[in-house]
Amino acid sequence: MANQSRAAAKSGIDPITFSVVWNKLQYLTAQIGEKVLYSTQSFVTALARDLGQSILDPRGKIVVAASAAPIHTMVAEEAIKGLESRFNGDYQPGDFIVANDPYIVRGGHLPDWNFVRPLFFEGEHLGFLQAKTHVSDTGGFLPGGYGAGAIDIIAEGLNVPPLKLMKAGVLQEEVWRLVLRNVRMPTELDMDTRLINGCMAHAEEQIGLLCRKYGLETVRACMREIVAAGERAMRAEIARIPNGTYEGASAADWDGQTDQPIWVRVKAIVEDDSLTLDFSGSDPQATFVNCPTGVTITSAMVGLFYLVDENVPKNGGAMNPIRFIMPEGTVVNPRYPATVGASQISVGTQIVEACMLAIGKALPDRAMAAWSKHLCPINIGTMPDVIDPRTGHPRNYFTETFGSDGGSGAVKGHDGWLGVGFQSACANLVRPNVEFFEASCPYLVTHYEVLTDWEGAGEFRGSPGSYVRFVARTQPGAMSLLMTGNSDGQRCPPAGVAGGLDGPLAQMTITAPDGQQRVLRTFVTQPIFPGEACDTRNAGGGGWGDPLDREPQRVLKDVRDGFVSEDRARDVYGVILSTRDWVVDDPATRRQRAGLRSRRSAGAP
Amino acid sequence: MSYRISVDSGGTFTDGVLIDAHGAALMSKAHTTPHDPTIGTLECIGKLAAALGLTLEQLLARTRALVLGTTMATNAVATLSGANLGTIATKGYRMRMAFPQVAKAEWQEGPPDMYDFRAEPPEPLAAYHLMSEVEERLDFTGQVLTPLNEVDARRAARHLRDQGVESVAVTFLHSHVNPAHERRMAQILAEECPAMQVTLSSSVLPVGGEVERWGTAMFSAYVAPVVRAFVTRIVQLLEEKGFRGQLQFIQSNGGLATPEIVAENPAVLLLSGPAAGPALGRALGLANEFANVLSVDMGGTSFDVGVVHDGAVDTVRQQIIHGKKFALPSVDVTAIGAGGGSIARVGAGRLHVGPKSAGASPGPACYGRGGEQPTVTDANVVLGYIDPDFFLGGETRLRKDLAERAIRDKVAEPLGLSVPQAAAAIYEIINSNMASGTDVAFAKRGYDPREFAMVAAGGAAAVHAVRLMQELRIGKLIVPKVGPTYCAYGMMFCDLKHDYQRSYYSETARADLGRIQELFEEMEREARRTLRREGVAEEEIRIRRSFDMRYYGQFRDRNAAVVPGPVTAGTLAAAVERFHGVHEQTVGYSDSKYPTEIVRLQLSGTAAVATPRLKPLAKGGDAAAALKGTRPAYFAPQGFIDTPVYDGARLGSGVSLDGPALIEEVFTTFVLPPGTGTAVDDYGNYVTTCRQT
Repeated sequence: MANQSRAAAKSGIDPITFSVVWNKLQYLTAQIGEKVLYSTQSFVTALARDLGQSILDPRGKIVVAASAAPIHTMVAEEAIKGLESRFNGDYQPGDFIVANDPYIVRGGHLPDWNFVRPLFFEGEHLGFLQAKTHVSDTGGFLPGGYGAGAIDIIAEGLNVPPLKLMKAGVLQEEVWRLVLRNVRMPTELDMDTRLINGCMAHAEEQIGLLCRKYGLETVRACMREIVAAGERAMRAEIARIPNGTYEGASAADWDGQTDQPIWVRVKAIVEDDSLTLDFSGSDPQATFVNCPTGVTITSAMVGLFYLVDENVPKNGGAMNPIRFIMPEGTVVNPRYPATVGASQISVGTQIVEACMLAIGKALPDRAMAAWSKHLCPINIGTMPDVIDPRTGHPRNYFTETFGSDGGSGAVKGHDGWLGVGFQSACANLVRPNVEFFEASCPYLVTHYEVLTDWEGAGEFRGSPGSYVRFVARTQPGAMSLLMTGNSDGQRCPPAGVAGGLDGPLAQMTITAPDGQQRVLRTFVTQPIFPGEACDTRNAGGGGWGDPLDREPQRVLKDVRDGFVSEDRARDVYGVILSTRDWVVDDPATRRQRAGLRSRRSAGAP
Repeated sequence: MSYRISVDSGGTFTDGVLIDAHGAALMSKAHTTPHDPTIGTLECIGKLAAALGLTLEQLLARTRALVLGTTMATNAVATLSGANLGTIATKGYRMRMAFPQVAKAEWQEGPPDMYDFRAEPPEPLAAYHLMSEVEERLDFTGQVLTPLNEVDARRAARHLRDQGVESVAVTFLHSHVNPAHERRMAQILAEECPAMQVTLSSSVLPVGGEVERWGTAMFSAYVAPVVRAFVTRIVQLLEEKGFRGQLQFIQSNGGLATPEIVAENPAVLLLSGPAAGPALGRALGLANEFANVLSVDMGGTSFDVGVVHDGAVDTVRQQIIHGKKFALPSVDVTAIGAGGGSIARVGAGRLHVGPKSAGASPGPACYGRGGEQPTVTDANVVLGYIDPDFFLGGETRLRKDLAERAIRDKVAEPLGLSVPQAAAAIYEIINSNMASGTDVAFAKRGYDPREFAMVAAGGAAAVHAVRLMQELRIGKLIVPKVGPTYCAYGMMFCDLKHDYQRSYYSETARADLGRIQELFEEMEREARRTLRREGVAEEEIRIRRSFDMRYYGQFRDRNAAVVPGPVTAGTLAAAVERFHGVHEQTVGYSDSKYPTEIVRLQLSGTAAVATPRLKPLAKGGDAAAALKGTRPAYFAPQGFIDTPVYDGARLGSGVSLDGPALIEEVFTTFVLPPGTGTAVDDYGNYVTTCRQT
């Protein structure tokens, strides 16, 4: 690190100014996020913090990214390339650009819109402010973006190529009316768009103050140097990995159409301080789960960020040492007009896992086991007896309810975290209040529980799994659908690492009042009828290390907490304990563990 | 019966302030005694007595009012040393509170990097095996879907009793609409386990949203036994020592309450630590004709920012502690990880200062207690701002050589700077971080720092205050004479105050004014009853009613005040009007045609307590008389300058000083850089005006 900072000094910026400018830019990205999260009308943004902000330099390199949903921050470089292909550097102060076209800004599914404000100081172009978020609606055959089965990207929703919604501060009303006419919640989208522009304009003013204080050229030099610092730090981390080729793979359940798992396979080739991530072995493009390159690159970076030193700056520089091979026509780089609805969650999660597992093989002490997948049916329907004051019509609801969140995979030294959601969300996804959900939707959540014996066992275990049941109190004749295009994990379990075990597979079922049960698959949209119950059971995370090496006291606590049964403690962890006085029987445990080890070496399952 | 005393028992020190009938003030400091805080409290009062030549008993017999502040509830949560806590939830929800309720990014105590999971998973305040559930269920209208299963209820009660649970939080879904099941459960608990303290979510916070209501009930139950034990003991001790005046506690909401009321709802003390500071900020601001005050308190580990806006201390409806929500109103204090103990380190060419702190142990390198990490205090010693031989009035000698070594090894060499340059960099970065953090806190509220005066208190603030005001482009700075006992002093300026909330959800256009009125009246009766019990006359009670509102479809709401009196179409329309204004101010847009909804009703009842009239300081004449000498102090860009050092105790009112200067007080040093100046006001506070460009 010391050499790097001297390099900063050599580039002519004093280290104090450098740190002040860096901190300030970092704070400004946080500030935009705080304000948007507080006032947005998009439930995904508000409740799941599905928002990411970043500041880029004029070349389109990310200088700083907020501590926010990575899928909306690290994806910004591909987006700016898309903008450049359209505008070729033609920006003016007060421009405000929106876009979501996955084949131009390459950012994932259609509800995720890019909002970009070119950054100016006294007429000089300084870079870009970028925010990306899941807007309330973007048209298409089903709301929300997670409906599998669209015939092509046109059916999936409104495609917005980079559009200067404001030119020098003037709203382009006609074209905006055209856009709003094609979404389901035009007022929400309109309000949120104005909100984001307002927050960005305020941040731009503050960057202006920074330029006034330190000088434009100094701020520019700092921005270049922050990117360079990211690159140096990432190269130093890659240099710690022994040269070689490491493979990783993970699969999504299917794409909702052809009944085959969808594989992502990566070869991570380490050469000194450079890394190539070659996705050539991945499956050909399918439908719905395809990842535009922005999602692929971002997801790969997320996988790396989980393993490298936490001080590596999460910016565009950290992406420089990495070469991506993403053959066109595969799930990691689809061709127009393939659909992309689930991309962030599936196959995005698989890309995170494949990269993390590949590098984890090279660095077992830094390896992290896979997390549980996202498993959370979306409720869509109508409440005939409630009038929406915005439309004057019966209220339509579209909301993510209480699916099951498993949690994180284990790392060396620490168990996985309960209920933190799926891997690309970095524990920033939070379920809202059941009490509010029940008041706004005709459903009753009767169970919200931790599952016993659903963790990936290990010396450090994955998080426990969880169980949710909700019952439809819908009216006969009122539309009520469950959409599972955001759910995954019925076929490919969360992988354990360094000798840790995998978590189990996820389950979803619907039970009718007469007890008849049917499986609710991932990547479908299907009705649920009055009185029926939907059950979701999600795996916990994968484990790290051999479960027979787990401290017996930790196993005892797990049994007492209800995470692990006494049987599993004995059979998988080799721990014999008393549930009467809550003590471990040490001699019996030693015998049990020795027995399990000898059976294992004898080839028993 | 002429003295007023306030005692603030913090994490390390217990501060006391006494004001006599003429308005003359005395300060004292004692060590906090965590195992029994009554000892430190009485010792602190004893020191005040000694300064007056009285015994503790003599002083107490002549004391009219005693206000106590304690961080014991906060510390019980911070150090996880509260009650052996059990919970009882609706069947199917035993583990609800084990699931995350805030994003990791909002979880302050966790690893700061969002990708860092190399830490133990967070756990709730109750051990998992002491979380139980009982068969019962209501729907969101309060209608019973499944009656309370009394057999199950008794089983759960006995189970917790057998596990040695001291305090239990009962939290059923939708109990804020219909508390019948929770109340029946309390009766069963009283029968089965009479020694157990019982907290009902529907009593602590009768508001919708189980995450907030249950979280608040759990915090409340967790601190209840320790708070009640302390209150009982201190009341008894004071009575034994002859105290006959009025005893009050400072609550999280910045208001006072009598011991009886605190014992009924112990959670009101949970965030009371920094709650009184802004009240003093307000008083000092108003004395200088500023209705907007930024109150900053910089100690060893944190920089606490409170806000006084339009003459009122800002409060928030909820705060996040250990990743859980605590939703009783509290003074809105943003804690930024910046203090004298903040550690400086270099990573990726960037100098980081804080949020990690060296704490009291090992402390800054210059304490000579084995600390090797350079801290802000070390930088301040190297820069000549703090005299190593006059720290805490010479009570502790600091090792400048160790400060220099730590800075050389960890900052100067990696960055290729000299030691003083590196120390100046630490000073600059911590100032910039505090300013940026304050900016973010302001942005959320839609305030512009330029419209504020800053009151800077706490042991470390005076060293940084002028640079901070320049960063924030604030025009007026007040460094109070009583800075080191800021909160204790602030308590003298607080009113009795109690807050109430009710859920009421409706589109504004369809609101049932009768029902709203009914709920407000219910809360008002409760407020008046409580204040009367505290000895307040009916005509002294002030009631403030307000709505929490949002645009239809939003997920978070904002508070919009209404005029006092009955709720009418007219007053409601005024509230809506105000809501649009607040929205415009905070996020830059509003839409008066857009439908709004009401989500919650709030009411607070207050009664003013006579505030002390302070005795003006003697006129001071000439600064030269207070000059102690000079020492080199570092001011960028010039470097070390031979700087005059003044004895603050000898500066009278009306004296003006120009920078560069160092003004030494017993517990702090006020640093005046070149080109700035300050004047001592009538009460010994340093008032600095900065011309902004």
